[in-house]
Amino acid sequence: MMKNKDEIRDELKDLSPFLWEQKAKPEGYDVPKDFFKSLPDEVLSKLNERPQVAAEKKEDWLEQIIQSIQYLFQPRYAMAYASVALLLVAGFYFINNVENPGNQPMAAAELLTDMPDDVLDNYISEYIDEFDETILAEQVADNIERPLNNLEIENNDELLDELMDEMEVEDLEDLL
Amino acid sequence: MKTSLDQHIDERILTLLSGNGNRERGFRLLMETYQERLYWQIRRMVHNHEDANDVLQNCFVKVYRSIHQFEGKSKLYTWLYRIATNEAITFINKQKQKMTAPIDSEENNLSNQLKADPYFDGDEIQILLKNAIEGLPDKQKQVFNLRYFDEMSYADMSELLDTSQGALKASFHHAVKKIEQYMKSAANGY
Repeated sequence: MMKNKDEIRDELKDLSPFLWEQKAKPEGYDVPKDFFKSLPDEVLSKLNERPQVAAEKKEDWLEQIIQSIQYLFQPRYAMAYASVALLLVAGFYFINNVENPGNQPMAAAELLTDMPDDVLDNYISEYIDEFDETILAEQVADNIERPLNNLEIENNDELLDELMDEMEVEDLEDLL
Repeated sequence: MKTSLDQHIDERILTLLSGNGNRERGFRLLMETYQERLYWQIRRMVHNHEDANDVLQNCFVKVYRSIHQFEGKSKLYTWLYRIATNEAITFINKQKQKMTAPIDSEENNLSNQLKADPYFDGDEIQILLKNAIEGLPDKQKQVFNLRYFDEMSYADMSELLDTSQGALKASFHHAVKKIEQYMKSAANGY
């Protein structure tokens, strides 16, 4: 046992003569008189007050949560949270405006889809002079060309066959 | 020799604790046997006497309530040491949460805390040593305290900290060098 202690002290002396010298001094810590003599009684009396201990435990739990919240809301963290919140709000606002820049035109298109055809026709007739002639000409041209452009050659043959089947012989003779 | 004596006392404690009507006697024997070793281990971690007292009492309350969980796979002191260390670490973390001062003033905090403690009568060099130890990583701190103050063998420490003897030796050597360097540079600054 003593041999072990000597070995430990020799090891320290080799490693650091300075710390080895310090070890000779008392550590500096002290305890109240009879502290160790009275401690077991103190602990046992604490254990015998069970309900109170349970209440203290509950308080500890609550206190821990409160402390954690207080810790999170210290000024240095509060500033950071405020900055992050501000950035999030600004980011949300920015993204909403960038992703959907044509909010109003989209709403107008939806409105036109729901509008009855006769209302639209009346509107166009009433304000026909205000429409751009070039746009009107293009629109008319599109309507004429589209049925032919959209039909593919293979589909044309199929369509003709179907029409032929549906037609009466007299109608066919009239056409020819 | 000491090991067999420890074993004998541990067996006596555990027998009393498991027997009907002897639980309090067994627990009193446990406290009387280990209170000083545990107290100094905690005191070196929390520094202040009142805090060490609170942590030790909480530790014993926990031990009393969970002694049935001790399986006897390790020495009783090893089990107690781990509970006490965990209690002290929990206490230190709570204290850190309460502190609003910046971390870089921790050194001053410890010096002031020691000077304000009526149960500390160390000189400036002792305070410097405590500050140097406080600056070590947790594991090195534990190893240094056990070897320097408790003069514990690497074999016992290995069981206590569940670490190889080689690693513990390396850890202690590093800690000594760091502390020496810290104290010398601090002394030159005076």
